[in-house]
Amino acid sequence: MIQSDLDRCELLVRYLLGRDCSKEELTQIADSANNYKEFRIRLFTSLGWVSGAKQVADKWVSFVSRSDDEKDLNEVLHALEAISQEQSKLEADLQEGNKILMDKLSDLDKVATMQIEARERLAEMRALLTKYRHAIANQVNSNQGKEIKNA
Amino acid sequence: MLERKDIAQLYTLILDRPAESDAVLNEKRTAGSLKDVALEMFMSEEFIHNNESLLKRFLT
Repeated sequence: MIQSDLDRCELLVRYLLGRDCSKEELTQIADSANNYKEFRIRLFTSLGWVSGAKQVADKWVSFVSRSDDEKDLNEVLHALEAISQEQSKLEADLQEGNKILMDKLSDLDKVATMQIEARERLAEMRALLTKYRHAIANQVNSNQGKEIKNA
Repeated sequence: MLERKDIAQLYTLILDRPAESDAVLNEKRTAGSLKDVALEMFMSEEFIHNNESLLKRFLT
C-alpha cells in the first residue's frame, strides 16, 4: 500500500480507537488490504479491532443479502417479462397463421366449387356430343337407305 | 462538543467528500464521540452504496 494510503489508515484508526495504533497493529490489517478503501472494510470484517464493529458488519451483511435477494427477484421479473413478450409474439404469429390458413381454405373452396361446376359442364357437353353423334349417325344411315332405293 | 475539523476529516476519510454544509457539521458536533460519528457514517446508505462491490467481495 502506498504511503498516503497508510497515513489515511492510521488517521482513521486513531479516530475509531481513540488512540494511536502501533505500526504492528496497523500492518496486521493493512497487509490484508491493497488500498485504503479495502482497509476501511477490513477494519470491520476483522472483528475485534473496533468495538461496535459487529453492528456495522451486520448492517453491511444485511444490505448485501438483501441486495442479492432483490437481484434474484429482478432476474425472475425480467424472465417473466421476457416470457410474456414471447407469449404475445407467439399469439400474434398464431393469429396471423390462422388468417393465412382461412384465406387458403377459402381459395381452396372456390377452386373446388369451380372444379365441380367444370365437371358438370363437361358432363353436359359429353351428353350433348353423344346426342349429336347419334343424330349424325341416324342421318347418315337414313341417307344411305335412300341411295340404295334410288339405285 | 466535538471539533469541527475532526468531523470534516471523518467526512473525507469515510464518505470521500466534504460535508454538505456548516449546519451539518455543527449538527454532528453534538454526537457522543467521534467514533459514534464514524460508525454512523460507515452504516450510512451512502457509504454502503459507494462501496457496494467491495462489501460484496469481502462479505460473500
